[in-house]
Amino acid sequence: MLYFEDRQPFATGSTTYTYQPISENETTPRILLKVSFEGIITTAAVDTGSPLVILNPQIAEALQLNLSAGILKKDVWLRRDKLDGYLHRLSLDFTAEEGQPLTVEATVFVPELEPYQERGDFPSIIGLNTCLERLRFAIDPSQDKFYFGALS
Amino acid sequence: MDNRYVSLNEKINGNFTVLGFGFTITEDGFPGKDDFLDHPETADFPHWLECLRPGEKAYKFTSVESGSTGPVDAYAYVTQERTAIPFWDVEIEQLIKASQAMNESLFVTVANSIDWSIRPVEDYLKAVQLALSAGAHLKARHLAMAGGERFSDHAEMQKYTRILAPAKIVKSHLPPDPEGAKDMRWLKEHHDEYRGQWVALLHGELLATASSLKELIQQIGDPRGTNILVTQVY
Repeated sequence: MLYFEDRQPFATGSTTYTYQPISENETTPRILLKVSFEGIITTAAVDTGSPLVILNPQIAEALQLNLSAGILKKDVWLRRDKLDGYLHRLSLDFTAEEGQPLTVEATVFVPELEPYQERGDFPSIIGLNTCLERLRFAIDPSQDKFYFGALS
Repeated sequence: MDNRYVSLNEKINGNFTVLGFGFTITEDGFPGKDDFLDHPETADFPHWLECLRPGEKAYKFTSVESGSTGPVDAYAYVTQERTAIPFWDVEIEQLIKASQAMNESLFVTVANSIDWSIRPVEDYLKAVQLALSAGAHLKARHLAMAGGERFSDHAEMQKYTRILAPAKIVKSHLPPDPEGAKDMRWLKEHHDEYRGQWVALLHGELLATASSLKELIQQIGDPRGTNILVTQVY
C-alpha cells in the first residue's frame, strides 16, 4: 500500500473506480467508487465540493430507514433539484480489493422525495465535511485506483 | 408595566449594572451600542434601548426628549418592564435572518457573538436547524456538540449530537474482496448499454436488471450480507 517516509501507513486499502459522468445530463466525469451503506454494496461518487454524504433514496428505501427519526434538513441542492430530507448517522464501508476495508460512521443526508419526483436519478455522493475529512485518500489515474486510510 | 423616569447615567451605573451580564442590548442605530457603552459620556445617546435576556423580563428604555443628542446623563428615560409582551429575542432573530438569506458567514459571525452558556436547550436545537438551513454545516456540528455536552440528559439534543458528530472511523467487519474490481470493470464497459437501469453484479457477472432497486431486490433477495453490488447505471 502507500507509506510515509517513516514507514507509517498513508493508505491501508485500495479499490478500483470508474471515471464517468453520473447522469445523462452531465458530461463531466466523476470518480465512482464501490462502497457499502449499512451492508448494501452500491456505488457512490466522490465529490470534495459537497459538504454532505448523500444517499440514493432507493437505497434508503431498501434499508427501511425511518426518515423522520433523523434531523430535518431543507433546501439541499442536488444538481438541478432542491430537496428536503433528513440527516442520519449511518455506517459507510469503503470496500477493499487490496488491504483492509474501512468503516466510517458518518452524517448522511437522505432525500425525501415527493411522489412526482423521479426516484432513480440521484446517485449517492461521498462529500468532504461529513466523511472524507477524516480519511487520507489518493488516486492513481493510471490504474483507476482509489487509496484510503484512517487518520492516525 | 412599570414606568419610571431615570437618567441614563443612573441606568448605566445603577439598573444596568444590577441587571448584570448576559443581556442583549438593542438600540436605535444598532449596532452602535459598543460606542455607547464604551464612551457613554460622549456618544450620541440612543432614543431607545432594550435589554433582553432569554426567559426573563425585558426592559425598554425610551428617551423622553426624542431626537436630541448630547451628554448622555442629561436626558431622562422611561423605563418599562415588559411582562406581557411576547419576548423578542434579538440574537435568534438575527440568526433567522442570516439563515433565511443563506448567508453562511453572517450566520457564523452572529452565532459566535452569542453567549451560549446562558441559552436553554431549545435555542441550541433551533440554532442547529438554522445553521443547517444556512449551509453552515460545521457551525451546526459545533452547536450540536456544545449542546450535547451541556444537556446530557436531553434526548433530542443527544440525537442531534450523535447524528452531527464528526465522522468516526471504526473497525470494518468486511473482508477484503479481491474480485471486486471486476464489477467496476463491468460498469465501465457496459454503462452505455444499461444506462438508467438498476443492475445486480457479482464479481463481474450480471445477475439481474430492473427499472428500480425494489424490483431488483424482488429478483435477487436482500443483498445485505452478500458481495452483490446493486447500483443504478450512470
